[in-house]
Amino acid sequence: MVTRKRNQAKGDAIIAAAQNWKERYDAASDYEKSAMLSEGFLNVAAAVVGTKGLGEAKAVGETAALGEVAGATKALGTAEEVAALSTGAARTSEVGAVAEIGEAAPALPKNLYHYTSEANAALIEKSQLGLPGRITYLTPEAELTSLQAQIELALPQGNTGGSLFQISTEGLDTSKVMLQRRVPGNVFNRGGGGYEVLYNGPIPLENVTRIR
Amino acid sequence: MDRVKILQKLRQLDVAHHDDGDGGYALVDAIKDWAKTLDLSSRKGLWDVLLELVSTQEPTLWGVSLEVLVQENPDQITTQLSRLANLDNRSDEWKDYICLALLRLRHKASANSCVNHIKRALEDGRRAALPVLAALCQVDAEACLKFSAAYFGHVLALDQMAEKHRGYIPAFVRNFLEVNDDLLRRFVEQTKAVNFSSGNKLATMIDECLARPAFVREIGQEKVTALRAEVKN
Repeated sequence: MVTRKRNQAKGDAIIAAAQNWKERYDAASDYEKSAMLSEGFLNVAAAVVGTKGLGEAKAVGETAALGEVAGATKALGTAEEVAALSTGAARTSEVGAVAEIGEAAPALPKNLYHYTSEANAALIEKSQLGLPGRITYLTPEAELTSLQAQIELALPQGNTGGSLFQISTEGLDTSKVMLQRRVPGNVFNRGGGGYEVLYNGPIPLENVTRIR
Repeated sequence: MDRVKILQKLRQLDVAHHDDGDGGYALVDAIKDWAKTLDLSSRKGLWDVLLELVSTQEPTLWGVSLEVLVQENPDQITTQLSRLANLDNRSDEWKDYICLALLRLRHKASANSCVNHIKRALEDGRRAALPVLAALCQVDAEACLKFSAAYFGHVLALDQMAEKHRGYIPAFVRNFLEVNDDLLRRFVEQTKAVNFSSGNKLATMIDECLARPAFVREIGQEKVTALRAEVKN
């Protein structure tokens, strides 16, 4: 009985989170809507099936993002609660409806941007943006100062964000776009809050133009 | 430190830098920093493990491993990498990176095999091999100029191709300037000899690249002004 009540509460919390998400979606710009569709789908998918197999860092990111969705309702927010949702005991039929909305492939803007240090910029210009097998974070935000980039994109220590590349998404392999989401904060007290697109693997130079 | 412990440490560093999102460059620095703390024998073990990761194309670490090896340039690494370059049944993209590494390390003995690889790539229309062509000047400037001029003379004759090649111009500018200041002027001159209009387009793209504030910061306004004048004439 107690378990059923707890599961009922968790299911209600997911529905509340989904309603909150829809309100945010209605108020968002076109690009934000596109990113939110992807984010919302993955968050709900994480809630239903768990984060198993997504990789440690991604699981942490999803947990943070789900916590954000749940934040307004104060119903979810701890890792334990998120993990508990993966038992499948929650009311998945309602959640599934939200997931269907997210099935539309998120569109990329015409250009994305990458903030990096001066030293890395020189390396990039001689080969490609990023090394094989690694993930490169891109953002639709073109006009961040170096300091804004460090904070809003939660750049790791050592990345000054002083150099900026524009990446044309025309001809880019969209199958390598792993995720679009809001930037979670990092352990260096860089708060995040901007938007980022995770791209798996290097980006060829023909898509890359150095802006500064 | 044995191979297993080295691999464990590399995995730890990989996990710690998973969320950098910088394409792997911070992880390269972290591995280099760790290498400095090792005794000679362990460091040699690390280079062997990194080479193994490149050779086996370990999914997340081979690119980073290769970059560390290029930047650290340990003994005999060019000989070992040149053996890899001759392996069959490897992807063209993987061979691009191996050739680029050998040319960045100025391994002259690999020049011929790299030239053959570049020729095949350009015949197949794989523009991703253009940074390898640019780096060829590090071991054979004349061959690099000849192939580059022939290539750009041909492709820039088509208006729609200029945009697809603009992003590769900095690779040529940077490599040429590392070898000889006069190479850029000769690059434009030889391209004009193949196709005058293409040479002019190339000169304009090189000029745009040199005029960027980042280049001025790196090599100074005076040198930039002189290079731009040479390229435009």
